[in-house]
This record gives sequence, structure tokens and C-alpha cells, in this order.
Amino acid sequence: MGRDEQVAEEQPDKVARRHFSNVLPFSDFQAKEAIAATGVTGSELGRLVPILTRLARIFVEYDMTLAEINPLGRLADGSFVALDAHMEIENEARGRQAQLLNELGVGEEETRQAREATPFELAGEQIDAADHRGVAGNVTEFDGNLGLVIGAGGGSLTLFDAVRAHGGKPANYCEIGGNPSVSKACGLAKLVLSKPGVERIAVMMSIVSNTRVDIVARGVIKACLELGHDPAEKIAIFRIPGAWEEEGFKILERYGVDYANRSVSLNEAARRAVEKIEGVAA
Amino acid sequence: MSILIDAQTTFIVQGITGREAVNLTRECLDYGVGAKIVGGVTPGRLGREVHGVPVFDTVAQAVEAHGGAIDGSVVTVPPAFTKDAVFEAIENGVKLIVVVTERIPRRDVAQMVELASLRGARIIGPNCLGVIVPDVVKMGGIGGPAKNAAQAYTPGPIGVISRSGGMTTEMSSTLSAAAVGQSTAVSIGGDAIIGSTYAELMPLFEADAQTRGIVIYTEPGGRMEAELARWVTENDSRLPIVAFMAGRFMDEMPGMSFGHAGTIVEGKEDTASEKIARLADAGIAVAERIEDIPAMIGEKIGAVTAS
Repeated sequence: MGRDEQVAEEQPDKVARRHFSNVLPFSDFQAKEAIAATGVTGSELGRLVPILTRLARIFVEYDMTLAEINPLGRLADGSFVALDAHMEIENEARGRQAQLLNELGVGEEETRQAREATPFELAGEQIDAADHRGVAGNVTEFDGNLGLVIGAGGGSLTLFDAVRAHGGKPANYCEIGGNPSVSKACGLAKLVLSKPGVERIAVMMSIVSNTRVDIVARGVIKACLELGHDPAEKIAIFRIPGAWEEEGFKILERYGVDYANRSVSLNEAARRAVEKIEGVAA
Repeated sequence: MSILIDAQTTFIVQGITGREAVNLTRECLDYGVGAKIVGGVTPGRLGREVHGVPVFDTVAQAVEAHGGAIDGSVVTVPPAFTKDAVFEAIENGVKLIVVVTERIPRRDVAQMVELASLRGARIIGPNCLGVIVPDVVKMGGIGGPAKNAAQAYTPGPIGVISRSGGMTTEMSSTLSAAAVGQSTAVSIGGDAIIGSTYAELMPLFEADAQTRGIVIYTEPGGRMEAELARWVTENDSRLPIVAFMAGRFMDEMPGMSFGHAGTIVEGKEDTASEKIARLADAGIAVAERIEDIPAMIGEKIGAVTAS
């Protein structure tokens, strides 16, 4: 537990919280009120107000999600000095804060994710960046034997949970969405199929309305064929209902791929995929 | 009845000449009784038409041509221009703004939401698919082309609120397949800051006579579920709620973002397990599987009717 959290827990009266506007300019009195509320007065109050005001303004001006001076040291002469500080700028604002990031020497690859991207994840980013249409990426590496080609945002979260709930071991997390091209879907499927230890892939999404079922079907089948695999063997299940599903299902039938429509739940599709690899699902 | 929109709602599409916006306009015009899209705005494209909808340079021109206040706007402009577009809508008297755009800097979103609140307007999104009243009208890409939307959504007693656009349709489709229809389904967006949270939409559903129960889709990250739990505890709501929580695996992976911009476990309160516990404490049933939801909510609204 950090010192700040400890104070918050043991002496809540020493912690002041306040909202401030993102539209109206931040004013000194707002800092003064917050600091005074913790019991600070006298010359210390006057010295602390400009520090908090500047911190609040920097927070807004530089698109921060966190701006923290901790600890703030008091010198013998009564002045204050920041002994350490922690600030986070949000990803979506990197473009317009490029100059600051450059001055600070923060590189493009330094994201807010908790660990560095693996080569497999970086390859996923490259596939997604290959053309601007749709998303086929956001890959995260795991060490299982079931490759996942899944989407979209919420569907991927649901499906990943479902695979694990049935005792499956995902080799990766990823997201498809926004109607990617055949080559992008193919690229993602190839990446997952080529990952060491992957026995089969499951291609599953929540009902799609923008992404086309037939395009994803063509992409994953093409990936199997180009790698010399039989799609019927390698694709454990294809469960993507929605836009252009008749066309998609026709293609899957031609290659003998096991597919499911919306009457099969995400959970049931995940169970069937796990069963094909593990023999029996939990 | 419904919440937020109905057959009479007039709206514009800002950024109407973009590829996705052209499709979205077609879908909304075709769905249900047909949306009353009274104009589109793309600067420099005054005088054009998109599926018969007149295009203007400014929102003010659209309002003038309409000859009165316009209820809503669907904003589909690129992230760098979204804040300005939303401000323009708000300052021209638009009261309901569906922000489709993804990847808007958080400060801009905070400003949009704050201005909306100062002016008595409501924002849905950003990073959302909009609102649908089954068989009547939709505002946004929710459910996709009219044919697909009609297949997934059916009218009925359940309000649906979801942080994921796609899962709004998946869950509604599951309800429909079990003959449990929806009053209104709202895709509220997946960003860390959004204009309308679960707790902020609850009073609207509470006031809607057609709605008898609520189904929500939720994810790790943020304080929205805690806020809903508090709302339910503090208000004697007549509406039973069933929740589905995706992303349970993320509890083991703090600091990693999955699915949506706002979906990240940074502290204990962000975790799926903590949220499930809070929801359960407030009497909200949490489903393990989506296919269990129709029976769970069906039983609850049945019980409500009986009492």
C-alpha cells in the first residue's frame, strides 16, 4: 500500500477530493479550498496553492489520466519541492502530445500495457496496420493449444471467458471488427495457425452487422489452404452469424468446415471447440 | 413506449458523407417506420443529398431548413473533429447526441459531457452503436442493415443497456429467440468516460410503462457498475435487473487493456469479481452464460407481475 493510500484509510480527514471543470479554466481558489479542507493553513497554504493549481492545469492541458507529485518535500526554509512525480498521458492523445513525448524521450512502443509486447503481438499489430479497413488485431499471447480468431470487443471478452470455463487453453486473444478485408482476416488467421503449439483454431464472433461473415470465412479458409492445412481439420468451429451469413455458410460448407448460426450460443460454440481439442469439455 | 427516441424523433447525421455514415443513414431510413433524418452535415458539401437526405455545411443551416428544433444528432466525424461537432450540435439546441466515433481523446469527451450537462443535453457514447426501439426506429448503426436488425430485435418488456455494441445485438437476439422482446436497447459505448451510464439511464426506463425488466452487459474497468448498484440500493426501483459480466479472465492480468478503451483492471474495484459481488449485493442477478438470461429475467418479471 502506498503512503497516500495509507493516509486515505487511516486519516480520511487529511484527504481532500474535489471535481473541477474541463470546460471552465481552473482557478486558484479551487486549489485553496481543497488544501484548506485538509487543515493546512498559514504560510504553507499560500505556498501550496500554486503547486496544486499548476498540477491541475498540466493535467488538463496535456491529456493526462494521472498527475501525481508524491512525495512533496518541505525544506528547512519552508519551501516545497517535488521529490517524485508520476504522470500518465492517455493513448488517444499521443498524436497531439507528440512534441512533449518527443521532448521527454518517450518512444512509440511504450504503451500503458503492463508488459512489453511479444514478437507474436507485434506481428499482429503489423497485420492490423497493413490496410485501414476494419480491425483484425489487438492480439495478446497466451500459451495454450487452441488458437482464437474472435471478435468483436465484447464478443472476444465473452468468448475468451467461455473457452476457459470449459477447460480450454487459449493460445491467444484477438479482436476482429469493423469489416476487415479478406487479406487482413487471412493474415490474422495465419499468424494464429503458425503459432507453435496451436493445434486448431476457433473462429467465433457475436452476431455481426457491419463485419461480413463471408469475408471472414474466406479469410480463414485461405489462411488454412496457404499453410497447407485442410480447413475442415484445422477450424474447430466457425460461429459467426449476421450480415452475409448465407454466403459465408455456403463457402464453409464447400470446404466441410463445422459452422454454427445464431441458434448456437457463444458459450456452446466455445464448448464445441474445446471438445475437439481436449476430447471432453468441462 | 420507449426511452430516448420514438417514431417522431427528428435527427441529423454529422459527417453524413463518410462511408460508414452513408450506410448508417440507409439503415436508419429503412428500419421500422423509417427514421426522420431531416439533414446531414459535412462542411463544404452544402446542396448534396445522401439517400434523399439534404446535406448542409453547418448544423445551424439544418435547423433553419427544418424550420425548428431538431431532437437529435448522430456524430460520425473523425476523432480530432468530434468535440467540435458535438459542441456545434449542443449549441444549436440538439438534446440527444449519439457519438459513434472511437478513439476520441478523453479530455475532449470530458468537455463534451460537461457542456451537454450544462445545456441540458444528453450524450450516448462515444464509441457506441446508438439506440434501437424494436420494429419502430433506430438511431445509429445498432443491429446493422434493417433486415439484420429486424432479425435480432423484437418489441417487448425488457430494456437492454450494454457497454459493447455487438453484444447489445447478441443479447437482444438471445432474448428474442426466447420470445422475450425489448422496449429499447441502448449501446452506451466502451470508453472510460461516456455520456450516459447504466445509473443515468435507469430513471428513464423506470418512467417507461412498457419496460418491466433490465438486462445489462458489462465488463471490467471503471466505476459504472458500482454506481448502478448504489442507484438500485438507494432508489426503490420496480425494475429487476439481470447482468452479464464478460472479461472475467482479466482479473489475473492487471494493467492490460482488452476489448474496449475503458476495459482495464487498474485497481481492485475494476475487477470482474469485485463488480459481480457489488451487483449481487444490490440484488442484481449475474448470469454465468448469456443463454441463461431469458429465463432469469423472465422469472423475475413474471414474479413482479404476480405480486
